[in-house]
Amino acid sequence: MIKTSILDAGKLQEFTKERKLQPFRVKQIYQEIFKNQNINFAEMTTLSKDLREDLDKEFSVVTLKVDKVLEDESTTKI
Amino acid sequence: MIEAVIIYHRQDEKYNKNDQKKLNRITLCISSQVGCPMGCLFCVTGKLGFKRNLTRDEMISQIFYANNYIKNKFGKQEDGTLFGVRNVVFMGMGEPLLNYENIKKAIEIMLRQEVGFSLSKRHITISTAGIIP
Repeated sequence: MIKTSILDAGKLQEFTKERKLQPFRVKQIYQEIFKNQNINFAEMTTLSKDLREDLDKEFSVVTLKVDKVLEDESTTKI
Repeated sequence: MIEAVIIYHRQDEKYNKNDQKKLNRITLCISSQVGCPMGCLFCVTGKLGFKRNLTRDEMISQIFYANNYIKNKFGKQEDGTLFGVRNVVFMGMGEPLLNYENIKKAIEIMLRQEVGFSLSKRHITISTAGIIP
């Protein structure tokens, strides 16, 4: 099953409503993604472990599958 | 299958550590479609044929992945902030202006400061074969 993108504001709102999360939690999630450049919820250490696990069940940050990564001195091809 | 390419621009002087040139800025080349219907003679993507348009989130995913990759590869800059993509060019697979609505939404996120990458307008480039949306 393909998980929902974390950028889907509607789905994320549903998610926060269900769990009665405070609005600053959403800010923290986006902070982790945009500022701390994390793509795995498990590495988002400003969030509680339970929240990380729940997020991981429903959402993903990168919605594409990475097939292979090629690299030379001045470029990386994904 | 699509592709994205991270391009590292380095300064001319050699960096003391392990003789590597100092990293200056990073550009990411991203795709806007899977395959391409244009068939330009100079481009191999046209030979694949057109599969589908990428969504906004799929285009942004390319930046998320690249930023994470760069973080793991280079870590922090001298001022303590992380290295990351500073320029985005739509020069991967696909004709961006045939997917106008979605690239518009993707660029909004690139420019936005809240829930966005706060890139500069001048650092985003669209390469086109001349489609008028």
